[in-house]
Amino acid sequence: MFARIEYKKYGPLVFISHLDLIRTWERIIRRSKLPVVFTEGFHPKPKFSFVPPLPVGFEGERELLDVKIKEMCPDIKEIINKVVPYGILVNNVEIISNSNLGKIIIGGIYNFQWLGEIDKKELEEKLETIGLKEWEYSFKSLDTHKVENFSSLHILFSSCYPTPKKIIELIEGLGRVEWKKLSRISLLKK
Amino acid sequence: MSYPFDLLYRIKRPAFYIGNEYNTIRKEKEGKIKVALAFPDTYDIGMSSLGFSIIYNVINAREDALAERVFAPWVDMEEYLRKKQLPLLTLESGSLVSAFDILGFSMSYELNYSNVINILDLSGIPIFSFEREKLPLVVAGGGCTTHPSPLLPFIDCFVVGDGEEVINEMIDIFKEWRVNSNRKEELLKTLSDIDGIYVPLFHKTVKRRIVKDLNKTPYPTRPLVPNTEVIHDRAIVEIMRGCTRGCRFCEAGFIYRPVRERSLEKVISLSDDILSSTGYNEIGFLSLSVSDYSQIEGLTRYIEEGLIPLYISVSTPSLRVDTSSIEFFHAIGEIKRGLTFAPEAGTQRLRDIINKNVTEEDIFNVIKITSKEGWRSVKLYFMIGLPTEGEEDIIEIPRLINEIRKIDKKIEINVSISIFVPKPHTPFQWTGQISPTEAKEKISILSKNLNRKGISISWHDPYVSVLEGILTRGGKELSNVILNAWKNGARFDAWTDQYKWEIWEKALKEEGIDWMIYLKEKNYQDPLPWDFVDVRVKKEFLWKEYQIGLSGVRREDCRIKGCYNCGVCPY
Repeated sequence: MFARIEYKKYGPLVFISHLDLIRTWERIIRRSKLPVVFTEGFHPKPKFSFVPPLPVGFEGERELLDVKIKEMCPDIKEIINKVVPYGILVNNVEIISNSNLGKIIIGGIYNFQWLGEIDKKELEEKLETIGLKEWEYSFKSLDTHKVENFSSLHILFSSCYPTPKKIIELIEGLGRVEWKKLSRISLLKK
Repeated sequence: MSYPFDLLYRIKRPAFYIGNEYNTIRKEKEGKIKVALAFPDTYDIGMSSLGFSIIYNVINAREDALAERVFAPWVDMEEYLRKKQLPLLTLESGSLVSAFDILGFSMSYELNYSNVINILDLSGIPIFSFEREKLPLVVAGGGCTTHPSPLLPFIDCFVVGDGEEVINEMIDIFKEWRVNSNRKEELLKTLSDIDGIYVPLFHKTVKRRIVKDLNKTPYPTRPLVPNTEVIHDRAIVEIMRGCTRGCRFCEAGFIYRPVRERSLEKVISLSDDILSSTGYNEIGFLSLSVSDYSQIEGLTRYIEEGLIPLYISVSTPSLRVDTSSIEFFHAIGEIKRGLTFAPEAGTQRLRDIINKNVTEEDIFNVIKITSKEGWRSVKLYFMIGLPTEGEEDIIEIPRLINEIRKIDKKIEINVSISIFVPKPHTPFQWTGQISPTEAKEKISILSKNLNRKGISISWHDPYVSVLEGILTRGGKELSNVILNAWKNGARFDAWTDQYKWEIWEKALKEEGIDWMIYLKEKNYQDPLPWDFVDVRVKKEFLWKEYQIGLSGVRREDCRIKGCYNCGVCPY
């Protein structure tokens, strides 16, 4: 039996690495004292599985994590949210019989927000050269009264596409930008 | 205020600057005494310092005070801060360091001195004490304050010895002063009456502060849990402070005397509390020599019955390994991971001189026992440049390593060679330090005689050790050298990828200092730059111990053999 935890990774914790995230979750689970199953071996760890890593700097709005539990227990969400550090928050918990995160996640929707002028045409051309199709991205110039040249790009990735890091490089290659926010809005399930 | 997202996104370890660790306490600043605690090295090293954590928690346990942290920014972060003209901010509330009442530096390593200057500068705080009319009051504590001369012009007041009680007395005095006065000199005058505080302005001598009973001393039960990996990424419980084995080269063995133990009950309750408040999967029991802990059997039982079933692994600094502690190392699984030995010297003659009471037979016995249990590796620590050392002492190091190899051919042997720096307040404070040239010669003799197969060997850079010797053994005249080196880019001198001897060599030259004088042997009559610090171990005792040592006489632990009258007891 597994608890499928849907959580948000935000704020200061966008800057921790995937390995840091695993350590953080192990500590959260230990603090929660939930009846989880541990691995065998010299350094036993809770049996859990993660979705493909978020790059450092990225917020995750709806990340998933499966943890193997020994028995049914109520209020997992509330119990965990009592012992999370600022930057992790559980949205929802579901009890499932099999953990198949490795198989069902085929990609995600990413959002890039920056300040700085980038030519829309040029960006679209570049995105197409790396294989993105028109329906897989949307570019918005978010100029407001307060900030000029504030732009946002939504991209749908499937696992065969280049990494978010590649998109960052690509945008930085087109002009001077100041990053405002980077995030994975949701995961794409099969 | 906090650092812009874009800045953090562009640096190497952004997680060093985000704070917000689990167990962080957020406090309203209004009306409180505000203390910024600075660790002059990176976040992952500072967060591994027990002293830093203790002081942080003692201050935050008070209703009327708060402590926030700041660490030395890595070179890429510094570059951005200077380029964008941003100040250094504390992690808890993102405040300016200059807005605090007290700024306390944790000084545990001399090679961090250039970072102290850098933190002051990046915070917009004048570097010299005499330039600072306003707050914050700049304080330093930690092991380095037993020989603080090179830092004297930068620091308003030093805490020498255990800080748990002093910090509270200091804040009490500060609180009273703030109501009645705004003259910093008056504050310093009152502070100088506290036992264990040294105020350079009033130039008295100072006696090291000692807490009497560890069981009554506050200890953090809800320590911060770093969000990113740090050096000691585990719960830490200090089981013992001080060591009386009397190794004549070891500063910690003298400046933390006497031995004080935490009771087993206390150790167990602290361990349970910390593990449950942090969620760590590992715990370290801290002491200078764990096998000397009188409750070691009880501790072993607690590990086997109370920790292993909860999937908690245990680690311990294990520099002293003997057959009596095998059971303990077995319980904590250290045997499987690999043992650490510090024979320190290659010959029995030299081990007797330095009073490292380990025989070759002891080492072989331990290795034979553990070999049977399917162990993986052994780490061996040696020093070169010890007093009276000759070529034969060096050649014996590779021979000893080869003997160990013969016992079990499958083992992985890691050898670490460091260069002896004669430390203040030890019997060897009068001996000379070998020059980098001599060190290189000794290293070359050693490696020529070593069969490298299956052995990995590493040594300290002789030019790092020489700076360590200079900054440890020097006086007030070095303050200008530190400033000069900092101006010319010295940062993170403890990091081999950042350290540049050329900067220091040039700084020493420009300040008219012949650095070779710091390596010279001294006589009993010679004044020492740390004479004004009384660590409560008598100078006559150290000299006598030095002479006895040179004649090759060993001394057993005073807890077993009886008092040698070092001066610390009764405390």
